[in-house]
Amino acid sequence: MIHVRLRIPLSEFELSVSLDLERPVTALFGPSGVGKTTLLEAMAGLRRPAEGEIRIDDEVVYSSERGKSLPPEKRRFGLVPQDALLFPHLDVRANLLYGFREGGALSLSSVAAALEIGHLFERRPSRLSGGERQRVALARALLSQPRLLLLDEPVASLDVELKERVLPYVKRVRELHRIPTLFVSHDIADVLTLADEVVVLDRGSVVDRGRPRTVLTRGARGAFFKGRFENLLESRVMAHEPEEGLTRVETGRGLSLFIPYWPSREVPIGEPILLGLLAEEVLLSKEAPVGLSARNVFGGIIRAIEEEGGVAMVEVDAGDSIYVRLSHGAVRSLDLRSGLPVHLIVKTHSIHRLS
Amino acid sequence: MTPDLGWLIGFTVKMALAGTLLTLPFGILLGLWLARTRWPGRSLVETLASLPLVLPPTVVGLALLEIFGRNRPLGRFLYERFGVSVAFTWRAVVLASAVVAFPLLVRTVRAAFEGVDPRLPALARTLGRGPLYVFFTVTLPLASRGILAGAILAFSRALGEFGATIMVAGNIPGETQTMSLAIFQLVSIGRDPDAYRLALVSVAVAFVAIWLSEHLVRRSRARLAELS
Repeated sequence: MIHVRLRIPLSEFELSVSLDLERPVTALFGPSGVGKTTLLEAMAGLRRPAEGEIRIDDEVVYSSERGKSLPPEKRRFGLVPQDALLFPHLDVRANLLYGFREGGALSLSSVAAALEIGHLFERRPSRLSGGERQRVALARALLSQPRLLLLDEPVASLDVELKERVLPYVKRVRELHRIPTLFVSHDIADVLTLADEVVVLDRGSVVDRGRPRTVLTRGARGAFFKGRFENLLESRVMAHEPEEGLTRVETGRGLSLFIPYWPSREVPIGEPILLGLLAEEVLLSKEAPVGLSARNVFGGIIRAIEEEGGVAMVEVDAGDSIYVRLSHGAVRSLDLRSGLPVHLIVKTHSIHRLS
Repeated sequence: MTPDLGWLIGFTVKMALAGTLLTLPFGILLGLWLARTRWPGRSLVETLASLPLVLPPTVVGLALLEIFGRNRPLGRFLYERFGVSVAFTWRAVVLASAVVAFPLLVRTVRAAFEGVDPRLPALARTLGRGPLYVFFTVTLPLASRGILAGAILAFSRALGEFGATIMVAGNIPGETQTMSLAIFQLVSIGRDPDAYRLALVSVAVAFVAIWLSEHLVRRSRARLAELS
């Protein structure tokens, strides 16, 4: 078990967090610039907090009250920064072996094979792609046999196909070697696939935490995710229409939607499926639209409008709560307000599958 | 009375090399400290370290004589305890070169260390390696080309050293006389053609040293550009 209680003043707000991490993989989730990276660096020992305490399995690693702060090499928290930070003067093999410890559960060949980096050993970091750097950095951290893995956007620079191969490996690491992992992400899909628990951070404070599905489908996140907010829809497959290229699903609250038919990953009828829909991909209309190509048109009532910096998040109750991202100008010219009935328009291909 | 040219070039280069090697560890340590510290007294230390660059070399030589002269405390101690004389021997030539070259080295080394991303050694420590290991395997290699360029600059300065050397080491042919001292002596006894011949040789030596240094700095820049 890992206990973290830290207070770090930042330029615009204060990072103040108190967490007990009990699950194998915890995701730190939130928009950029809320202190996620700072928290990881402070835990690894790269940054001194104003006060607080860090314990791992009852060993005090840092405590401002006791004036104790173990140096990074004694903490052995393997950090994988967002920009990988490979040693530029060493080739990949030397990077991997930099902190290697004999006698651990992980060997160079097994880690290299699992992360598909065996063919890169002789290369310099400057000759690697972003995804390759990220995997080498992850392997380097694992080979130092850390007591805790701290991953900053671990799969952000991997393409989708590679992500689908690397994610299972990160999961396997936690299952086989029981290295607890804390990772930073602002990607809902990654959090859902990887994490057992999610901690939502906003402007330096924990605003929510719990099981990823529960927390991320609560919808309350929309208020502060001015960026890419993703609506999550827990649904059930109702029918496949391969000739039309469509699959019909229904959410728990009775909203019926068409999504693309995926022949290679067909979900049996009646099975649950988790869908994502970016708030910026939803169109909103005051009149019932006619003659549109979009297959999903449904009614709802505006519950709330939150505006900040020219961006508005409009919460529409359409059975499920759906957040729509609009410009301030759109809200004003349509004279949108709470209680107004509206129509939402969603292309089938705007909806993607998360599970 | 004048030793042969080969000996003179060899002796001069050896003295400059020894002076550079002597000043290197101190220069690296101070350069590193200046690159890292946030201590407010830093600029004072920096100014003190730059003094030999600005002072007339003869003043530096006088100061060294005050410290290492046979009847000064440290000089006497070294002589009586270890039988080592410094003033007016080759050791004084080395010492004078080291002192005048020191500020140039410190400045270059400091810039070299400041060019190393501080997150790299920090990350190296999260991999379980202690600060000393990390210094020698990450920080120092990443700064090495800059340090090398600084060392070559220091060596070039030491090659032509005159003022401090003549004060503390004298101008003894075959013992403390370097090329620049020999040129001075040849001119003062009216052997101008020999002086010019020697001057040409020193131009050649200096040219090679500076060209080598520029070449290394360029390569290190190109490498940095490639890495980033």
